[in-house]
Amino acid sequence: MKTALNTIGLLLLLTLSSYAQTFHVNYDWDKDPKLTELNKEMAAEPSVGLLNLKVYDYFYDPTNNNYPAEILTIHVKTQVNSDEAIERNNRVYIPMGSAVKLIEAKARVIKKDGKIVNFNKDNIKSSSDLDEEGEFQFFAIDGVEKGSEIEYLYVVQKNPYFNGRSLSFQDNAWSLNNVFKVFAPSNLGFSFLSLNGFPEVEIDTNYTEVNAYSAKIDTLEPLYSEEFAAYRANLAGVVYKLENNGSKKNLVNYAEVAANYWSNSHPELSKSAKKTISKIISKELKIKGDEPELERVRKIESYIKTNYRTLDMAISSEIDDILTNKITTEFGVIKLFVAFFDLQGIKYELGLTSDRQDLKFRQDFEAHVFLQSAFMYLPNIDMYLKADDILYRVGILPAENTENYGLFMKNVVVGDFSTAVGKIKFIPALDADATVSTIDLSLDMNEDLTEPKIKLTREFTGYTAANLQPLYNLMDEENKTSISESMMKLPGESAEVVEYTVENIDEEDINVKPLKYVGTITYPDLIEKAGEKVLLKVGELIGPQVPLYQEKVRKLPVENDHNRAYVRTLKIELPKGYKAQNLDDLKFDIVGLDNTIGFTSTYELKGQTLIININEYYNQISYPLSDFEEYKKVINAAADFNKVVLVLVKM
Amino acid sequence: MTFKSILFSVFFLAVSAFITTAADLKPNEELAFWKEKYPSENGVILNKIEQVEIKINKDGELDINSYSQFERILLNNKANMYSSASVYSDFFIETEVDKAYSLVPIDNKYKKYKVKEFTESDSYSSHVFYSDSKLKKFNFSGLVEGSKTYYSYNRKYLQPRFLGSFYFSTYLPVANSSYQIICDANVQLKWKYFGLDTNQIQFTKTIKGSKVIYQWQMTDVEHYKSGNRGPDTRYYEPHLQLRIASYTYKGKKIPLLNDIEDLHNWYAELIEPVNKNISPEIKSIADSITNGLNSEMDKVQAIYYWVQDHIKYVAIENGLGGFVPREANLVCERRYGDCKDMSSMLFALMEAVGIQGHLTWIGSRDIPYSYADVPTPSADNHMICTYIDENNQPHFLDATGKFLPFNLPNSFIQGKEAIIHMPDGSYRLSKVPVTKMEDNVFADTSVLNINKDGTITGSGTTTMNSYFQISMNNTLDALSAQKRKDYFQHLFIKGNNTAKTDVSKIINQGERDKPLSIKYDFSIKNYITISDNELFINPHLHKRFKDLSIDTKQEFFAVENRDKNIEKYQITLNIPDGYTVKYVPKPGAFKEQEFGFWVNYIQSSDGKSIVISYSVYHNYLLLPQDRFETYNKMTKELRRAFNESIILKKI
Repeated sequence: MKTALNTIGLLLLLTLSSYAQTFHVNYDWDKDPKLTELNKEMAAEPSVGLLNLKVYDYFYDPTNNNYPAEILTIHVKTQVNSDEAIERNNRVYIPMGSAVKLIEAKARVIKKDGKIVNFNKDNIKSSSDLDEEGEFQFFAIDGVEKGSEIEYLYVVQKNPYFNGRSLSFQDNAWSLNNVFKVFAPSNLGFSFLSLNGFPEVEIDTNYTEVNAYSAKIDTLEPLYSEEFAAYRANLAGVVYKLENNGSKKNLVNYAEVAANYWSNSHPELSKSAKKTISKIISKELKIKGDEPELERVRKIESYIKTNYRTLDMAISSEIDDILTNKITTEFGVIKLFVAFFDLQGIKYELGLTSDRQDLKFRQDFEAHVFLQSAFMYLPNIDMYLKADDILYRVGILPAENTENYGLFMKNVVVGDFSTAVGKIKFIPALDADATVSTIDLSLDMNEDLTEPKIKLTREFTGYTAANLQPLYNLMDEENKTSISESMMKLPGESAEVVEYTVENIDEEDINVKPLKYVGTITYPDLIEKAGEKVLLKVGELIGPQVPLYQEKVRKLPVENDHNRAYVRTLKIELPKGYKAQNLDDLKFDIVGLDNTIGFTSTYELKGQTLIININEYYNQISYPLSDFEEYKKVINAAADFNKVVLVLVKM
Repeated sequence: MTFKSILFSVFFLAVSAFITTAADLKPNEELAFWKEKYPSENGVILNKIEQVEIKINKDGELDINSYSQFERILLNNKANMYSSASVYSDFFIETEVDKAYSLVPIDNKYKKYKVKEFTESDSYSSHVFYSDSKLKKFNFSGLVEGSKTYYSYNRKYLQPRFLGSFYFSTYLPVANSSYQIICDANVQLKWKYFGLDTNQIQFTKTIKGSKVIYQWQMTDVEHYKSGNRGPDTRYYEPHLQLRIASYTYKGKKIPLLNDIEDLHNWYAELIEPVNKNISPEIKSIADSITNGLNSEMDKVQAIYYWVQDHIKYVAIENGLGGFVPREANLVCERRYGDCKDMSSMLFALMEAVGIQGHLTWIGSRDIPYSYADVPTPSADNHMICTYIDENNQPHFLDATGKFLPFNLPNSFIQGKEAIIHMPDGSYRLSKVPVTKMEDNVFADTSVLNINKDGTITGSGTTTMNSYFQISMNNTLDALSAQKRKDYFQHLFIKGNNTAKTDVSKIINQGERDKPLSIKYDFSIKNYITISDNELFINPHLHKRFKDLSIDTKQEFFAVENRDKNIEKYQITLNIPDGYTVKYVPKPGAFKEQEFGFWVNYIQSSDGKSIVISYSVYHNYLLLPQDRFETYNKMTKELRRAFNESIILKKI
């Protein structure tokens, strides 16, 4: 996204100020380090963070025409108490992707007996593309043993970034002495947004020549991930950006983003590009003028998503190149949609938002870090479209982008002048009825009881189809088989698939028709024998249901990925001459939280035919922590139903 | 490259006959031809060719150059998933791309797009800490159904001992696969075929003047698969292991890799300079570890455990460093190293107290070759240190295995040949033993009580030795107190997923020479069924044995097992007051040499309890495909035996 957004022009910031005194010059680690005494609770953990310091130092670099520069100092100290923690902490990776140079890197180990092992600079290695994640400098730290403290300090000069950065200080280990500082020349003012209990960043009045900002928190408790929660979005941390440069305020703002992003995504099309696209529209897509807009959008989307591929590499996103190469970047694909839509006169807004599982979009703080994920909004049909991801089709956005605010940009024309304006709006989540899993099965118990045959139909819509339906035809045969079989093995892995077909997997079915599996399975575990009696494990027919335990005090509020519903109909022909003793065990009626969630089950018996109807739904994304217990009840109702066993006895 | 032109002028014609099989066809005809032949494949490798030239230069050394070509046609609309390609280089192999282009059918003519951009990157995953391997990456343009891609590269082998693996098959079927060597008549080659279908390799040897041309060719090579649980590709993909045995220069025979002796001679040369001086630190560590120990064996064991505990495994693959152990003095200071470094450390510590250690080369079980068949570096990938006792018995010390007891080989080298370096410069070839299943046991004993409210509570003890013990020690070491709880919950899951487990005691954690025991208490809800004064309980609470079957649609060739093992369970079910036993299932068994189980029920004479015992054993490391059916028969029987409930009746 960086390429599409434009960063703050460096010239704008140029000044004659000669501040060059930087933090790292005077900063060093303790010459005579002592081991930290930990309390019993902490000492029992595999690792404890003893110091976590991040300092960003901005200045005008006299060696580079006084252009603004940024130096990051990282100082970390960790006590390690297990082999696994040693292996996790004895390598330091310094991302060099946006780095100019590594100024300093040192490390040492303070052993249990107080002995210090210093680090050898020759150990530093570099890789231009480690794990395909870009350039790194890295080193292994020598001499670590259980109970050691690993300490490293590095200083790296980077290309300055002003548009908004998010830093997290918390994780699943205790983290002590967390320090965050920003230093900048007096004409550069920064603004900050503290998240999830991280202290407010304050101006450090000890400094008069420069702007100094600081926040410190002595102890951050470990935060563990929990089910149905947005873990990363709940970690303590800070977002900061450049606010003013003395003469100009509000330097990072969405009005400018909107104008830049719009113009970057709307290059003037060459004649040949126009011709090629028009030819695709008329010859290949055969779009007629009177076709409804949704149909036209679907055809264009389908064409682009099947014929062009995105690669995460520095490759061309020029329209002419994309049309020839068939490969481009994610932003290139957005430009391609724009070009097709413009030629078709389809109205759209462009949007950018965050992943709410990582970082919720904030209406009160404008920064590029909230603009990581692109989308389109089509006002005429009131639908969203994820242009740069083949998993989604018009009408559905990645769940993590919904139930979140976003920046919406649309074109305005003033006289001859065309530009774009941005507005923050809410992106609603889809309702539960848009994501439904349906199970329809029948079982005749008059047939072979050791290998009971079950006729099964499963259907998926919305998000449950999105991670499969668009990919189905791209998979190789082995994957197709293994995924389809796991869908058919609904009651458990020990089920065996007799035969099946998969329906609605063609390109035009995606997000239009439900993904459907129809077939027959046998499931020997369905029936247990106990002498003359037969135990029918009817609950297992809805598939394994994971109960929600929360033995520790729940810390995070409930947050679902997406809304969803499950509709199940089980039709069972009981064996002749047998009756079920405990049918009322099938009745469930658990509804909660203002009817936004529920699990209900009813049955009817006609002769030997038993029909069970089960409805389960979750129709609200988030709930406060106080609602957790009630939420848990519904989840656990499904898990309880899964354990219902009918006892069949001879009449 | 002059080399290429020479090679081409002489031999290209012979090979080009295959390249042009379908070359005169129009793009649509060519596509139809291959589609008919391979209807379910995404593409076909038309040519996979490597031509090697070996020359003796004026210094009497070998110059080895090769030219490789890959030509491919893509058969469906997934074509652009194959846009990216790369070629590999490292310290010993220099590679330069010669040509790379795509041929895209436009109006039924191929249009050629040359690849213009190449990016070179270090490329390795971060589990190897550092490696000098590099990838040159590039992308083909415009790929659509019917497109062809071509690339070729020149390669220089800087170490003649690394020449010589050629795989006839790959990720798509190959129409023509060919490996060719042209060399002086006084270069002696030896080779051997591995994998499936090697009877289809056509070999020719032609003499042209002073040159000899060897060619191995396979046509219509299928795309081999082994499934998820199968062994390494080297077991089944048809391939050639070739080596230069020796060459004659000025009448003198220069041995390279004729036999194991040559290989060992080279290895001995590489390790010769290492560990000439042992530092005082190593000496003092060795003394302190062995202080008070009398027998040599005890001292070796103490040293072995010290290295396991204090030197962390970090893989570093850097030039000859990938083959030569580092100085023990350096390893000692760093406290980390790869397998060779750990062996070096073991050697030096033993040396420091006057015990002879032996550096030892060995291949992991991934490698199917014996040293006799393949006396080249391809036959091994690992180093250990061997101690030979007074009875001339070797003890294999692999310090990369954490918590590995003395005399238990790491699971991945069981049954493999080892080249043990002897101090007089000779070698000894020994086989690492395979651990017997009787020596690798997981045993669980538990007591079940049925409570008045229908819940089940109980307690148990799990005892593990050998590989079970090692895995558990590694796991325990890695987990925080919090995560450990979740892990046990999962490990001891009993009955159903409402089960809650609390571990009350762990005995001998981290001990290598004593079995590890875990004592636990548990409770289960919704597990028993009560109906009409009868209580039904299935005593087989461990559901994991329900799904041992081999998926014959996914697995081919063979299924690999980490180790041979036995799992034993004994459950005492206490009959609650007021109940009497109405029905107990019959015992069952299925016993084969490689796998099997038995289950038994014994009622106590006072009627107060039933003891249920069962065992499941896996007595193979590699189970060939022709045994899958019998194995699955066993799993079916096992499931049937486990689907039997006990009935208790209210008195």
